[in-house]
Amino acid sequence: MKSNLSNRRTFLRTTAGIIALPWMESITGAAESAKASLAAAKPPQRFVAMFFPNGVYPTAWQSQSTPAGLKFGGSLEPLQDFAKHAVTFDGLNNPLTGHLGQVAGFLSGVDFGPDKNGIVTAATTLDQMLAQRWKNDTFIPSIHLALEPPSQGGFGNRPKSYGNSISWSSPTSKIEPQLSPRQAFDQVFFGQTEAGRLAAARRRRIVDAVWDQAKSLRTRVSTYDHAKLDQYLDSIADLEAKLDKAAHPQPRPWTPPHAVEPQRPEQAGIPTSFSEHIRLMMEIQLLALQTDSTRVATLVMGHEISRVVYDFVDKKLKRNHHDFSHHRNDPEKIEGYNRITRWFGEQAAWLLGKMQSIDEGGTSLLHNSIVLYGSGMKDGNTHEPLNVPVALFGSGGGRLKTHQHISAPQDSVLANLHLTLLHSFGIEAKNFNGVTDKTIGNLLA
Amino acid sequence: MRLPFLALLSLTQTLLLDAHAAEGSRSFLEKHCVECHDADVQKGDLDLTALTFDLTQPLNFLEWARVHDRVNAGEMPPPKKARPEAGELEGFLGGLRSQLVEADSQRQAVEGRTELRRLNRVEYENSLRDLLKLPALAVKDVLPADGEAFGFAKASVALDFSHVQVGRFMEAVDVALRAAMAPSFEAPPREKVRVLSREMNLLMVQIQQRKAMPLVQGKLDPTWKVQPGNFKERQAGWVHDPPPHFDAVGTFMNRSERINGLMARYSGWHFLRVRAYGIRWNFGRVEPGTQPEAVSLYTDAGLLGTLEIQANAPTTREMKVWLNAGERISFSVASAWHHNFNRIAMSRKTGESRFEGNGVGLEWIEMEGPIHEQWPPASHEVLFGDAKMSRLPDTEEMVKARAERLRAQPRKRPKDLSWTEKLVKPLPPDSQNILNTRAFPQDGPVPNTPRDYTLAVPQPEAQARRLLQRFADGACQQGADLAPAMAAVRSQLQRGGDFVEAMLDGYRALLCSPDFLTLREEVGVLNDRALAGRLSRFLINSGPDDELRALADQNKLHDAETLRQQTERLINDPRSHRFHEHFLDYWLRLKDITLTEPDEKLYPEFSQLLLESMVKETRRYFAEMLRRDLGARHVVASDFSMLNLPLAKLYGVPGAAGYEIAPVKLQQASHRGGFITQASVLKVTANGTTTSPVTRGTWLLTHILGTPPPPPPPSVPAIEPDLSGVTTVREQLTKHREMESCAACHKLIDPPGFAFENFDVMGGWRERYRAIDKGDPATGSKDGQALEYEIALPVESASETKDGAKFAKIDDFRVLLLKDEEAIARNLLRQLVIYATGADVGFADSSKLDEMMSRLKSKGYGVRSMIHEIVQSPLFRNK
Repeated sequence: MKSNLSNRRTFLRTTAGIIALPWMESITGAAESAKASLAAAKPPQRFVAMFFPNGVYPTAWQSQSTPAGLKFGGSLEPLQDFAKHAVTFDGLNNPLTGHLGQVAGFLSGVDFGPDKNGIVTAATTLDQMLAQRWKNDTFIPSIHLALEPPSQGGFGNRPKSYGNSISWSSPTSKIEPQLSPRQAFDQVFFGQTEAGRLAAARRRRIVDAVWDQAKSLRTRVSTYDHAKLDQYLDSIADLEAKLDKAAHPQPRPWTPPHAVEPQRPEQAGIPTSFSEHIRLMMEIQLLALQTDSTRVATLVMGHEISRVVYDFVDKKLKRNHHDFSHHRNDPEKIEGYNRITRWFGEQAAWLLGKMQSIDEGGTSLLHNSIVLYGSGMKDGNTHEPLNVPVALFGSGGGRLKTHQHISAPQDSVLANLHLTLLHSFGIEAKNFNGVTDKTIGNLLA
Repeated sequence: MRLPFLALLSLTQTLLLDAHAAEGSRSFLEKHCVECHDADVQKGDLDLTALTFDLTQPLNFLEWARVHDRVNAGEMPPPKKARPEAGELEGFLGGLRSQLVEADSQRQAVEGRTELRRLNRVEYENSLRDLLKLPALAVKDVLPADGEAFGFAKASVALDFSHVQVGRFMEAVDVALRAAMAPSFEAPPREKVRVLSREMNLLMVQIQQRKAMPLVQGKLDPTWKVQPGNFKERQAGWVHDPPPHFDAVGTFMNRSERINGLMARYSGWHFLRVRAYGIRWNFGRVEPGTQPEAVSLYTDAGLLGTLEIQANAPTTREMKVWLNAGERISFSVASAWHHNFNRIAMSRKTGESRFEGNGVGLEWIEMEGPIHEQWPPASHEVLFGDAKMSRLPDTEEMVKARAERLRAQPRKRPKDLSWTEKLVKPLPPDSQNILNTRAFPQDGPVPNTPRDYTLAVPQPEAQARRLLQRFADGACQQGADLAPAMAAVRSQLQRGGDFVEAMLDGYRALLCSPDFLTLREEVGVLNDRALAGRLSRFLINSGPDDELRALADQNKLHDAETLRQQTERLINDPRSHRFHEHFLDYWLRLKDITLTEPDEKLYPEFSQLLLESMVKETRRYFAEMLRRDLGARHVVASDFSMLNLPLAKLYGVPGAAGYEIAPVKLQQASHRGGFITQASVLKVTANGTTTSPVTRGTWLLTHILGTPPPPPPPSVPAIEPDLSGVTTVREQLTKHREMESCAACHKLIDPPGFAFENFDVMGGWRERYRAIDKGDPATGSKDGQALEYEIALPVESASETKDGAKFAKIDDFRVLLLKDEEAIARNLLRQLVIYATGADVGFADSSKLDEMMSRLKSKGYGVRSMIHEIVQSPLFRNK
């Protein structure tokens, strides 16, 4: 399809990195009437999931309804400024198997494990359902970031490496989160520069050339080798479609009103400082969301069974996070446990603050998003599956009734929440992964 | 549940075994199996009454293979049930086995053992390195991680295609082509940059913080004054250095720190030199060093190399490395102990120094390069032949890019630092500058650096075809169809692209086509080209070199003696280290070595250098086994290992001299020997904080003996290790002994695991466990600081094998293990077969393995002989 984008790139510089937002160009060429309707287009809804591992000590996750509004206690305290945008819950359960099940099923409600043929299956997660729905509207369907590499070894008969991701794009495809800030940045932004588009167009031509040859090759190999070649052909076809889209991006109905200057992380590798690492990752998430490069973002703030030692937060924290979470009711360990969970709250507060400050034409990025902040278990000591800590921030463009605490009906599970969220994003699903068809009352505006 | 006899009889009618099944099978199954494995009970999800017997169906074959294996292993019928008589058992097994072998052989005759597969990412990288003559090309990490099947990444089912995979192949090709072509018309100037220690900002900051010391002629600078700043009050500190000025800095940090001033402006080979000497710091005094030290140099991409520095006398050491444009050098004192000086170096209150330790007095670090033997470089000629370069006129973009490159790495020296000056600048109070304002650097898949030359070629299409043909002959296993590459070339030429752009598109098409990416083999005896490919991917993990290809083209390779000679040649080839690395990475799981880090408080003596050394030990040991044709015995026991100083210190073994790996004789008392007690292996089977007998026992059974235990029942929770030291893991595993359903498997798994319990998470020997608290304080100190762990409960390693043989420690367990030498050998042979051919040893292959084993016995099951046996066998020479 021929692109009708203007050839003059007035402010694109591939080195300093200002992104020429393609739809901005398209708009200058659009008709006047179209312009008016484009200007009236609402900012899109976004979904952000911020996950912390190993749960929280029960008394360190407090949200009380008072006449003045929600009052947060414990590790939620740092988020008090955002109470107006918040919905907190009690009574949501996550009855999946231990550390690994509770993280893989955090956004899907379904445990993972090997089936009869030994293939590991779980279920598609909420964020991926949204990403698949919106994938043609943004440059990339979703971004997934994490801070800790996956653990090796097994936990029972299940690989520990499944504790590093909360996103599954299908029952058999776990999404590996990105650990390197620079690679994450390139994933989001390089393809959106002119150089990136030219590269895509060129690759498309090459793929074209290879396609015919591959098809003719198929006639020359034995039938038993067809399967692998077919896989290759399918991949080429898929790639062609993606390259097409990348080389000729479609005009979008909505533009972020303020230009952004994303800057590429200097270091290629992973920062040695954990706090610097998480900041960089949250920065990249923000950039990706505010430039509308994507509308779905997840951040896994630590591997489930996290081995990180948080002594940069407080020198007294000498054990690793997982060790603290198995406090065995030792008050000293509980104190350390709480200190760490509070630190996660502080990180979330930083992100929410930024999201609140980004104006999208009268509404903030926070208002237009739904940020799900939480963990897959309550008390890490027993991997408590009842009443897991989750909170929502933002209203998805006014779709949620915020500034309230909801007590979910008995036997509610996270899937009830996810089903309700699908509705809030305009997806009228009948059930969520077959787990439930009941939604959480009083959440939608 | 027990069925009445009559009901059993009526059940026999419903067994679906048709005439294909051997007669003995039917009665055996009815008598011993159907009671639990019928439609009602379906123990283990197996309903034998519904199971047909049609071995041509792959899933059906797998079911019956499983039935065979479990009965053969004695696992079925389960111990509680009546045992079949020996003759009856043999009859059943023999009958079933021969049918399985028959079916498998028939399948192999039609399909072959292996399936069409793509290159895995290590093979891909090596192939491009060899083809493009770029020994340090790094493209592997652009590609997604490969899957695994049968323990390796060499089987088709493990190596998928997806749009992500193909997209990344295209990115990798771009990286490779950019690295191969000449970056500019003129050879980049060969420059030498020397950064004195006094010019290293990082060291100046360390000096102010009393973590590093200014030295004059090997002694503390007597005229040095420093005022540390106060960060809270935003007060800068200062440094005053009247003559004599310091000429070196004593530094003790075992952590890689970047050095400003050492960035490669252009890609190419560079010399890196370090001038330094080993010293010792003793609570405020510089003393002569007592041992050689190691300095490591890194880029963001990883370790470049380690240099050995002598004590006391300054010497210059150098290494030759490939650097990519934009890469910056970091260095660390790898042999120093402490990597996190911040808290301990100096008392904040009194200013006195609080540590002792070894380090280096660093005089300077120098980079020289890029060094090009020829211009344009050899890699450029691989792509473009001798096409003449001609310069393009400068454009604004080119001028700007050149200036940018010079600006990114200034060569001007900063001012001489021998006056009073503010060195520490306070940070702005609310700095939002989280991401640095750097341009995209010139490494990796980045926007085009403008090319300042073009290639003048009289007949571009004809020349393109010649060049592509030459390349494809080397790159593609069964030759290549050049049509897509030529189409890409023509398309680019038509768009007005020059010869360079056209050729690049041609190579892109070629290197992303199935001709390059996949390995095509014909069913039956492999032709010479396919055989050449298999041999080189086995022994040097890459495509065939010129000699192999020539023999294949002359159709001489399949001759047994020629094949033998080529096998010998490749085993001796320097590139064979790729085989050692890739094979061991998977067989012994060394690829997982960096997945965990030993807890800093519990294992403070762990270091990056130790990690690098332990991997080298295992690889060099395997190389030694190959060199001397040492046998499978050496998997488990040996009287030597390949060590350097840090490893020898960890093992408590004398005889290592420096940081190079060399053979060292082991004493009995060291408990070491073979792979199984090497630090690398002991580390990958631990998780950084604790060890588990179950993990290590399973590892031994699976990887060394080839008898993996069945997985645990689904709802068994994992045990939480008790770091407080109150209970040992052995006590926590008592359920394995007490509960019968657990004991069945765990009396196989746990005993080897207990034997290994004397080795901690990084392979050090222990008689007692380390814990965070609730033990006795540890004796000794680290850099003058108290150790932060305690010594708790004693290790109990004594146990008995499933046959009742008792052992006290690893040493006598090892003796018992050696009785299984044949099983160890057979397993190693099998692993090599899987690695070499990409398919497991199936029913039809067992007899061939038996034959090889009987011939190998007289050679003590030597590894080198194993390789020859494999290469000559039909398992290798047929698809």
